Amino acid sequence: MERISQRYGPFFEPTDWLETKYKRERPNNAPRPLVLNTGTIADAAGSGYVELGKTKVIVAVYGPRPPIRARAGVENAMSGRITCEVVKSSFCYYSCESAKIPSRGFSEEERLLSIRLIRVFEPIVILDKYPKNSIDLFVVLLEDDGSAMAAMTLATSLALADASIELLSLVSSATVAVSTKHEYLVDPDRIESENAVGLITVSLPLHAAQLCEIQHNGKLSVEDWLSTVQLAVEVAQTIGNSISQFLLQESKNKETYPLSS
Amino acid sequence: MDKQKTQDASVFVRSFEQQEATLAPSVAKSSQFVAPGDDILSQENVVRGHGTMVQGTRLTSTVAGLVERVNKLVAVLPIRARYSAEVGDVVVGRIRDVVSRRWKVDVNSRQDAVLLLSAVNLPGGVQRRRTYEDELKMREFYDQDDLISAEVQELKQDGLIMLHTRSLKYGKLENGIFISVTAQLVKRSKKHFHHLPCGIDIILGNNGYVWIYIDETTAYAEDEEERTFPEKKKSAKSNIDQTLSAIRIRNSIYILDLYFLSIQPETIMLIYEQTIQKEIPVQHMLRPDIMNDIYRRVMNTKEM
Amino acid sequence: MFAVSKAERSYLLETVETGTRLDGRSLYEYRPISLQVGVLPSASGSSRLRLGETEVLVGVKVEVGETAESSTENVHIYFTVECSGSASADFLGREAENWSSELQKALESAYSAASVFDDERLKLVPGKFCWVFKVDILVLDTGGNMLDAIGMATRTALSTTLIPRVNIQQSEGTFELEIDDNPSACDNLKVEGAPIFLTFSLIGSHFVLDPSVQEETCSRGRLSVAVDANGDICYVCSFGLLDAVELARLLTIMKKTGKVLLDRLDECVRNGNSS
Repeated sequence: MERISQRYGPFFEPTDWLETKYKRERPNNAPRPLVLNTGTIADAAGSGYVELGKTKVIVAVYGPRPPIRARAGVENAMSGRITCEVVKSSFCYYSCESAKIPSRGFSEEERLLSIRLIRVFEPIVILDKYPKNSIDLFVVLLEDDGSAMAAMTLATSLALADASIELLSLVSSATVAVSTKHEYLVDPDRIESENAVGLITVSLPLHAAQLCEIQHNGKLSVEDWLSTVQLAVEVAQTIGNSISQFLLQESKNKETYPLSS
Repeated sequence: MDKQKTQDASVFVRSFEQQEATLAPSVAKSSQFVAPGDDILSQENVVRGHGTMVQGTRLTSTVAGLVERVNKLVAVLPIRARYSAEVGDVVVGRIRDVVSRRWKVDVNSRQDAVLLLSAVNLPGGVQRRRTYEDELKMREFYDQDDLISAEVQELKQDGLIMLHTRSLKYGKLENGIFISVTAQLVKRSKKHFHHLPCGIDIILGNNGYVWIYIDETTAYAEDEEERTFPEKKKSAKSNIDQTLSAIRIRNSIYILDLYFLSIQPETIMLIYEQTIQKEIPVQHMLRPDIMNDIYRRVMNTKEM
Repeated sequence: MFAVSKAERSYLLETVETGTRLDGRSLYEYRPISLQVGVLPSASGSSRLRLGETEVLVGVKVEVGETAESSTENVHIYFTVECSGSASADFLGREAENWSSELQKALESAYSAASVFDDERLKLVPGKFCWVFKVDILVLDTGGNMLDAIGMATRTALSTTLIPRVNIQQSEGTFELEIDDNPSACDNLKVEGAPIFLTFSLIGSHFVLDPSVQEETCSRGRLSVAVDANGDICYVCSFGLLDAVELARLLTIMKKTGKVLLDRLDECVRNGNSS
């Protein structure tokens, strides 16, 4: 990298072009088309693939299995634990940004996303059922066009269900951005997220009036904040319902295969 | 107005400087303090004990502390150190790990103490050899992170501490608050289980671990089996009062530890009474200005 | 790793159920806060804050830096949180990194959302030069609720930061900055808009403000919110299963307590400066 004294380009700046002419092509309260798939990775115990518009995430679950690396110090092994590695593929970055990412190891952002995912699923996975076990999540963010954390949560939820790991409930997630014009934009893409005054991601278990995670960036008044959360919860509920529909369909399909063959 | 007051009380901010001159050592004036490397003045042919070292012709100290002389024995007692066990000490410990036929117990010492499966009372008090079934049920007796009270049974050559709980007064600790203090502040005495006049019980572990609890077992038979399932049928009112006194005791012990005062039932009650007298609500006890005030008052009223 | 036995946990739960906590506080009460400003001679502004057993040291360094042409900010602010191994046994290797990047992220988000540095006096040459604030945070002791302690300490450190006066001369499109190095000719940074953090832990079915280590260990979830002086929300992070209906109530408590907290901190700094 030091050998390059002067950098030219990037020659195409997609964001600049879009920022001036950008227009949301769907209603404010509609999420982008959702693509779901399970069993994408043959080698894993369970896997999930989620597409939210152009945001694409693939998650593989390995385990429950004995922990590969024992954590230092004595710890109570009577309940299992979750490990998580999030990798942002280089397609997530635009040319100028990718120079900044470390070639090896995890970037700070990836580390923080891993911590967040673990925290979302720690109360959801019934860890008491997996003593001395580790459930390892490997998340690859193939493309990031906004709402990545929500997509990752959905994909992980699918993957865990696919791996038949015992869960309290399916987890659903949604992002809502508040634009400068004070519009609530459901499931914002990259540009909408970057220009938002408030950006809230909510994850929740489908079958309880509870929330697993709230992450909010930006400045909002208490009232606005509460109504945004309320909206995000509603959207997450509908997305969650389609996930459970999908899983039901999948398991029905699987059930019929052995009979027909 | 009243609401305003309670709301204000939720935050207390003050600047650091007001506190300074508080840590006056409360140790007897006649004793000699030494720092590591200092000469210890002594006559010829003394027996040197812990914390001392001969450098050439000089007898020097290796720790910061108080010189203690017993006949010809000269030793330096460190002011703050990890707990060093003696046989017969009553300790409060925390189970760190359950391994084959033994528990590893954290007793604030240099190494984890060991509690053998054969050194505990079986439920029901039966006397028999420990079977394989007992070994499997070890986590039911004491699980990881559980607090227990025990007695030091034996010290091995390498300093390993062996504990036992072969008495009805020892065992798992329940229904109370734990607080850790400097081990040196708890003096060895005949009695370490105290029933305080305010109705709260405490166990002052020699190792500086203190357990504050409300003894509900007095009403029941002193039987291990029943002790593990204490029924809670007390009225809510008395429970709150008891809890508040327990917390007041906890905070009193915290203050004693902070000002490096000896921790005994008498001194604890002195602080306790003082705060009751001054009508200090229990949530304000740990405010630095109030702690300082209590300390001053107590030091004035009584030589500790 | 802080250890809590089952018995201690259930006693804590029972006590919280009755509306008090094991150190005598009520549910929405902060531990006593001790504060000192101007502790680091090498920094432009500094503070040391103790919240119960948690102690942090914050130093702010002020520099002038060049900025990208598109940027309109007056100030670039960088946070580094160092969790020293001397503070806690948990701060070893990976664990410490996780802690510090999380805390850093929270501070960055909150400060970028709150409009802290909109002061006209901080304007240098937009698109050319801007102030660079480096906020170094050192965790000296851990006793639970680091985020709140760090948030308060950062705010007070910034509020005592001195900004030198700058004389901007323009000649033929190039700018020359003349920085007045006379310490008495410095301006105090105004940080009315700077947020502070308030953290709740969920214990049993009750929320407690400003959790101690023991309470953090026993908690089922956490809710951290950054509020500014207007009571606007600048950052939220929560995990664990929280009841959605509780949120509105908690935010009102936060708004109220946050205001008191800010007033008390400012008051303490003022008194410290005058004496």
